[in-house]
Parts: sequence; structure tokens; C-alpha cells
Amino acid sequence: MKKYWTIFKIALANTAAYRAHAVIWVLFDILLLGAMPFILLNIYDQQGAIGSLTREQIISYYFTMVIFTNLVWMRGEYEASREIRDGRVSNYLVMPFSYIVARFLHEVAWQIVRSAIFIIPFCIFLIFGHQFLITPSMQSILFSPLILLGSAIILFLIGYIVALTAFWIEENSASLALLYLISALVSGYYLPISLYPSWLLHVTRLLPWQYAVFEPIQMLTSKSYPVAVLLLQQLCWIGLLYIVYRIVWHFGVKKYSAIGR
Amino acid sequence: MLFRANFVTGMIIQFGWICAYLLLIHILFLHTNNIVGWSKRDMFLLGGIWLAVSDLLEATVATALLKIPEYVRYGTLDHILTRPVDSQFIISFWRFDFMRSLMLLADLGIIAYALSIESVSLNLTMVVAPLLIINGAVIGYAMSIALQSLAFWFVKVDNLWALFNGILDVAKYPLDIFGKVVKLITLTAVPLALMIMLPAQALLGRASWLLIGYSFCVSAVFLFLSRRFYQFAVRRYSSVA
Repeated sequence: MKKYWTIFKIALANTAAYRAHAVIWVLFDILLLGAMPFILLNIYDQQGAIGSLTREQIISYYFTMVIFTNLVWMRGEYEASREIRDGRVSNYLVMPFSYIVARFLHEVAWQIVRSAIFIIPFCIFLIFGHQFLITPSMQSILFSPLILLGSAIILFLIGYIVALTAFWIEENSASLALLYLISALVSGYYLPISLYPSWLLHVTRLLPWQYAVFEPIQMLTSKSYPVAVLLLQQLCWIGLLYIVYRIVWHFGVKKYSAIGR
Repeated sequence: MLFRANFVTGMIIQFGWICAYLLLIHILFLHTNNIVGWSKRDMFLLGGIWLAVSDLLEATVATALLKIPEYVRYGTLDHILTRPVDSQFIISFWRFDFMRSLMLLADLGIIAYALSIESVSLNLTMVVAPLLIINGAVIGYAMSIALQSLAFWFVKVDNLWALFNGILDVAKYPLDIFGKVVKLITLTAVPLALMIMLPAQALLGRASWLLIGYSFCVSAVFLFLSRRFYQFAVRRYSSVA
């Protein structure tokens, strides 16, 4: 455990040097979602309703999504792909710790720095906009750390598995771009999934993003929610993704070769 | 074309993003028939123009401008500054993205499709619309190089392009949703409305000639200011060699 704690401390120190970097990513995430709540509120004001969403649910949904993006949603796949492509992963293969755990700790460090920066706009909105937000149930609040951890692990594993395609594809930026496209569409990032047509809902139910992003946000923006069911669903997806990762890693390392490292 | 499979896959992914955006608009219009007076056709048109301006920037200058923080950090700007050519010209235009230039054809296809959905009465402002799209890209270039020049102060900022893309991303929706104050900002300090909405309005015959003239003046001012800012930023540069 001590070696992982050391890895985490080093990652945190390195990440803290990129504070300006983190500020830009925080602003980017806020801007990316900046327009959609206004569009939905405009439709709500016109029609008196949009799907089954109320005004407070719309505002709470996007506020929680921005928190989620900054606190939970890890995007370490680019760095992992680069390490495999550049041969730097060789260093990790001979070291006495797990590469996936080391990468996860790097991403946790990055999320901590981002969250520290995000605190300021978060507090500003809480001060001026708290009356528009829905308070979740006590059960949801109590289980939220566990659910958010489950979400982080699911999103990390998905990104990591796609990053491992770098073992076979030298320039795998297209794989990563495909990941972002699919995740943006089926996670509820731009629009709540509840607004989707039924054929698309069938697709999202079969994929892990709904249980990593949309359902936790629903949990945090509803008065009551079946938390135990979500926890079980997340555990199932973590198990499945972990098995996929082990298989991909096993064949990837066999294929891997690096010269001069 | 060094990585041909990646080129082809990249094109497919770009088409995927276009389809995803159109799908989102389609989903929104399952619940309404207009957004601040913009119909589904108008939104497709706005999206097509946003894509055209983005791809025009990506094809010509964006890939090159991305490198400015790297040049500053590793001191490789020396090789550019010592050449007998304006450094801003080299930094801005040294790389052309062929794939994004092909995507421009798809964007024009979306614009044509949007115009074909409902009839639009012919008007003179339609003639100016292509110039306004190019003008939008010029304003985007001025904003982009000004932002990237911040790398001369904040050295570890490889993702300044993300800030510009985030700002531009807001413009693919009608900016009237934000209210008067933000609308005023998008017509002056951050002229997103002139970059994207105005060409769409010109094609729909809803743009005034005063605003069209104003947008060309704004691009000239922004180009001038961004040039001065870039030159001011370069004076801060010190080589590592």
C-alpha cells in the first residue's frame, strides 16, 4: 500500500504544477454545457413541460452534470495511449505495482486538483442558485460517495480498455474520438436520457454509461431513488469491464514490444 | 496521409459527430416546434454553418496554432523567429488539415439540405452569406491566436485550444436563449453571434445590411488587435538555446 501512496503523492505534486491547465478544463466543461440548460428551459417555458422534467430538475440535472464532470469523470485514456505508443509502459511492466492502479491514482490526483479549482464556480452557483436545486433524499446522500466511486471506476475502465487498443493500433486517436462520441451521446451528457426516443433508450440501457453517469445524476436530483438497485448494476458493470480489461491487457502485453527502453 | 486507416476512421468519426449533433436537434424538436423563434430547419442551418466555420478554422490554422505553447515551452520558436518571413504567418499556416477541408463539403451539404427543407425567399443577403462564413472564420482566427498567445505567460497551457472550442461550441445554438446582456457580449467583446448566427440569418433573409457591415468592421478590428497582442506576447519570449 505504501508504494501506491507514494505514487499518488507524486502524481498530486506533478498535477498541481498544471493548475492553469486544470482551470482551462474546468472552464471548458462549464462552457460545453452552458447552452443546453437554457435551451431546455426555453422549451419548458414555451410548452409548460418538457418530457417529465420540471424547471428545478432541469437546472439540478446540469448543475450536477458539471460537478460530475469535474469530480468523477476521468479522462486518462490519452495519457495511457501515449505511454503505450511511446514505449514508456515498459517501465511499469517491470515495476512491482499494477499499471492500472498507478494510472487510476494519477487520475484521482488530477480530479482532486480540478475539484479544488471547481470549488469557486460551484460555491458561486450555490450562493445565487440554491433555490433552483432539488435536495436529494438522505439515503441518496449517504450512498453517493459509493455510487460516485462506482461511476469513476466504470468510466475509468471504459477509457482504459479503449486506450489499450494502442497495443495494436499505432495511432489510436480515432478509437478515443469514437469513445468520446459514444459516451457524449449515450451518457446523458448533453440531454437527459429520459428525453430520448424509445429506440435510443433501448440502446442506452444496454451500455454502461447510463449507470455511470445518468442514473447517479438522477439519484442526486430526485427526492427518492432505488439506490441499492443502482449499486448492484454498477457492481455488475465493474465486474464485466474488469474481465474485459484483463483479457485485452493479457493479449496486448503479448503483442507489445519496445526498443531501447 | 501517413496513417491512412486513421485518416479514414477520422472522417467516419467526424461524420459521426455531425450525425450526433443532428440527432440531438431532432430529439429537442420532438418536444417543441421552435427554440426562441428558430425552427428545426433553422437549427440545422445554424449547425451547418457552425460546422463550416469550425472546419474552415481546423483545416487552415487550428492544427498549427495548437503548437504555440509547445514552441514557447521547448524554446523551438527560435527557428521560426529567425526566418525572413513573418513569424505569425508561419505559426498560423504551416500545416493544412486535408481531412477537415474534405469535411467542409459535408458541412455545405448540411447547409444545402437545411435550405431545401422549407422554401426560402431569395434575397441579396444570401449572396453575402459565404463571405460572412469566411468572415466568421477570420474572427475565430483572431480570437484563437490571441488566446494561444497567452502561452507566453502561462507556459504549461497546452489545452488553450479547448477554451476556444468551448467558447465556439456555445455558438451552435441560437444565442437569443441567453438574454440581452449575453447577446450584447456576443455582438461585441466575444462576437460569436457575428461568426455563426449572422451567416445563418443572411441565408434566411433575416440579416440587416448594417449588421453585415458591422461584422466586417469587427473582423478587421479583431485582426488588428490580435496581431498587436501577438507581437506584444512574442517580445516576452526568451529562448532556451
